[in-house]
Amino acid sequence: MGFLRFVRVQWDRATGAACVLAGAATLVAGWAQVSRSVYASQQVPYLLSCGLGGLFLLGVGATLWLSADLRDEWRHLDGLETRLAARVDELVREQLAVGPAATNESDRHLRVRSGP
Amino acid sequence: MAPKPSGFPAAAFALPQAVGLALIIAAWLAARDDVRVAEQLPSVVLGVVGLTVAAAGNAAGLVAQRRRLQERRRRLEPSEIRIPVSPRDPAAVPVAGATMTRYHRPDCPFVAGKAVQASDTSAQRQAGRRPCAVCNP
Repeated sequence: MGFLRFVRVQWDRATGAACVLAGAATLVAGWAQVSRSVYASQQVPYLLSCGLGGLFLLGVGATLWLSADLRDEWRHLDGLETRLAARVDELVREQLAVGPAATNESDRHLRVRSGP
Repeated sequence: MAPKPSGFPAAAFALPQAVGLALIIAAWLAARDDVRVAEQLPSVVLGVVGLTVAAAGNAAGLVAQRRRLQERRRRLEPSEIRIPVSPRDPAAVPVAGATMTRYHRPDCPFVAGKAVQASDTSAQRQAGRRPCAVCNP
């Protein structure tokens, strides 16, 4: 998978990774600026912009990445539900085609395994 | 607010991020012109509050998404799903209610407990009704 295709298909992971990288770079830049400043009052604005800003970006990136994992599972469940519904339709049609074969209550139900 | 089809509550996630980022920027703008640390401390507190809001939004968004996923998974969890299918009785006369657009077999779950009248298939079709796709009368 090429890089552009990865970005298009996995936009959430790509954005998350970009945010994490940007956050790390911001933290390093803030540390460099703070280490060059002599006075504490000069360091506080860097602490706020680069320090908190970097942590903010790291948090957003991590959240987007974790959310992408959950969305993968959501799509997996979509596929499972679709396959299950198709199988149920198929079984109902088969049962209706068989005709009046059931004689007791337990035979009046189709049993479909939804597990793997 | 309605979740996206992926289960990700985008608005619930984006709002705290926007608020948190705005608070951090406001704190930075307020602190950069002060020359005394004591005057900058309220801005630092404001910035930390902004970061906390954003982090809480992240956590809430992930928890909400995870909860929706668990609900969906729980619906698929039973290892066995029982689908009621009654044996076809060719002699059964289809039934339908006066306002129904489909006619059913008498034992179809869609007409259970409802006021219906029986009439043969041709009469049901003349009344503009179609056969139920579930019980297939």
